[in-house]
Amino acid sequence: MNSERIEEILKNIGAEDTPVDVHKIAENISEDFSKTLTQPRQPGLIVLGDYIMKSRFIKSAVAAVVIIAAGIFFYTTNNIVPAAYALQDTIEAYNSIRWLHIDQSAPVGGQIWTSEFWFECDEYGNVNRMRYQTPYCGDAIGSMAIVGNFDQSQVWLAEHNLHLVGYGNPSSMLGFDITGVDPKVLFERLEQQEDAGQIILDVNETTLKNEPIIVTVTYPAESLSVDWKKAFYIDKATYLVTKSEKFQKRNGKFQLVNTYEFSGYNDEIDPAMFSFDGELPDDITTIDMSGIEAGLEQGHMTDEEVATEITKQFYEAVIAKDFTRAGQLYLAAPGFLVEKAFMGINVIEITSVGQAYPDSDPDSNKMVSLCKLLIEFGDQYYNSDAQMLIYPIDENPRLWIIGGSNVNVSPVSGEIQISKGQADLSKVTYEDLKPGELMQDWLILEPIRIEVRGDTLFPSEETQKQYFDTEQLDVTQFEPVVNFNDKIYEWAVLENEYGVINLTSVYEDWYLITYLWAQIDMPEEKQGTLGIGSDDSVKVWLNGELVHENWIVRGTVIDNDRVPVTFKKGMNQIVIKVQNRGGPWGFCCRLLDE
Amino acid sequence: MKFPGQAEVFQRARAKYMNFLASVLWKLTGDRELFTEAMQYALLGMWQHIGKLDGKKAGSYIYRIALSANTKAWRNRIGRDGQLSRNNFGFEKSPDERLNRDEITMMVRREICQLPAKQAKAIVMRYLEQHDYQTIAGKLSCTEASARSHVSKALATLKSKLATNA
Repeated sequence: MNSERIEEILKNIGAEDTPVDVHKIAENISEDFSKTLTQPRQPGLIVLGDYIMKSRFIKSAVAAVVIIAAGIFFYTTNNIVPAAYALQDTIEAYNSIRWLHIDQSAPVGGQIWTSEFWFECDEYGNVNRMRYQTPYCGDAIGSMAIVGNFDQSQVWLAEHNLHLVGYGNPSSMLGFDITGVDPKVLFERLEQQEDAGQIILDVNETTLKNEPIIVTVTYPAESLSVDWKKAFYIDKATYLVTKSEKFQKRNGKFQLVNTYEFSGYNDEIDPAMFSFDGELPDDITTIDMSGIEAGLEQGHMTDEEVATEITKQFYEAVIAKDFTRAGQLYLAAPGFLVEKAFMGINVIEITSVGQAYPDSDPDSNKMVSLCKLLIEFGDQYYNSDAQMLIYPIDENPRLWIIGGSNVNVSPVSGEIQISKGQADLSKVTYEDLKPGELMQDWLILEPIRIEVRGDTLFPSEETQKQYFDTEQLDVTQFEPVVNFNDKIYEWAVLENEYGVINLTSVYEDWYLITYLWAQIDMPEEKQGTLGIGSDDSVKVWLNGELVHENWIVRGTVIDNDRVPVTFKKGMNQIVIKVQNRGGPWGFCCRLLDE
Repeated sequence: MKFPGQAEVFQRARAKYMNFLASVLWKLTGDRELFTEAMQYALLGMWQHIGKLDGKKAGSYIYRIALSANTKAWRNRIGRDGQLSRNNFGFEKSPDERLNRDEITMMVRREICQLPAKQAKAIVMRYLEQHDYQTIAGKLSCTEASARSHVSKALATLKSKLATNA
């Protein structure tokens, strides 16, 4: 039969009018169905169950599902042996899947964060019921469990003894589309994306029986997701996905960012898994979130504009300490939880909010908004770069919400002034040093360069350690000039405007050592604690006695190390040695009220 | 977060899509028994995924529901292995025997239900609803060229499948 003939048949079918009695049949079925919805019972599968059993055809379908649950695993055609694997094979294999379990793992800041999903799916690949559980998702939240179906969910935060009910689709709470985790939906999308030329598929199908088919997805050069790659491992016998991995190119190399391992296909999941009944402690606090007006309405704003606006409104609410409003914009979270997440940090001002842009992650529908903030914590100021992830949660009206953020914080540094040729300790004498106040004035020794031995470009670790262990001056007695290795080094007065002392701004070379000297006048003998921050290694002497040393590579954070000391009555000499082992360097020191 | 009452949204969607479903499902089934079954599956699908019928992509999702309902109805009839019980429609067993027009039409319908989702949608939109390619591209969120490609691929698939039976 040729294409023209088929077209003619299709056109004839298209030209057919629907008979009046067929319309009547449709109306009757529809009316019957609607009546079941208005019965005074909880809408849901129970009502659908009543309806299902009215139809002998659907009865048989239900029976088929039960048989599947009893152990019929996979459907394969009897008469067609595909010559090569195609995505459609996996999509069809999932037609018979109703339950699955997924283990997720993702490297986050040197740790592996893990979570688990349990899904009960329908034949569309949509998730009917789900449970998500993670033992840790950040210090502010701790462990989290979510149960839900396609339109409602509830959250259990064990560390907070909190039970939040009345949320909508669990995707909104999780910050990603849970249907995108289901391989059936995922592969349908891949098929569509391949048709549209949005992805490049590579199928590696060896003839070895036990080796999986590996489907690799990459993105064309013009794609926003060009720096991403995905790999799916598919069981040859069943065409089901056993594992998927997602990579992102960083520093020119693809690095693993996420792994999903799929198991428990059609192992019926106990319905109790999809509920918290019987699990929650008796004294748990339950909060109904259904009344929360969550998110920001898009109105006439573009996606970029609404993402920028919601970021701005969120931090404005945080600055105003209106955590209820902030929570409405951030995952529809209760205000006190948002307040807790800030852990006492005060956001002072929004320095800037950049133009938002679409997230390059191929599975993301989020916008990314970059925001610079000035924050205060522990009487000190910091610059904060916040990357906010924003996505739509509802369509009518179109609402957007913040679903996650990555925040980097760096101490604010003021301008440093160096006055050479002034080896005068009286200029760096603290007579009324208040606890918590950073010591901003020091005598600084002209930095000593660590020599490079042999043909290497950088000093060896061993050489650096030797310089750290050996003193280049007499720390018990201040001398106006220092003679080290037949070279004279002079002191200068260092005055820092505020914050930590960023030595890179005045001495930008790597592999340098310097000494800082100051004196503290104490009216009487006193025990106290010095809060020391350093980048990198540090030694501290008080009145000629070594009180602290730390051979380390790190960035300066106020009070990196806390050093208990005893000040004598009168003038106390404090000397700090800072060694730069590469990159920027700096230090800070203050007396703590401990 | 507030979610509108599910039943209310369903009723709105039902009012909006009933004629569409009746028309498309009739054209896809051409058989009152199959139609009845497909219609029931479609209503169930609408109810279970009502959230998706209340948004911007509802116009596209209803096709998915209709096609899935049609596939399930056909699958009950023809079995999961894709093999039609020819006796159901009185097909002659010998491939040499000429099939009459109704039988061929029924075969085309049967094969539509086994097309990949996008191709099936494209065929329904192009021939059963007689949309132009611009409209199809809009509904499928793809370019006009891709819409043409889906229709051509679907025709090629139908041709190949039917060649063995005709």
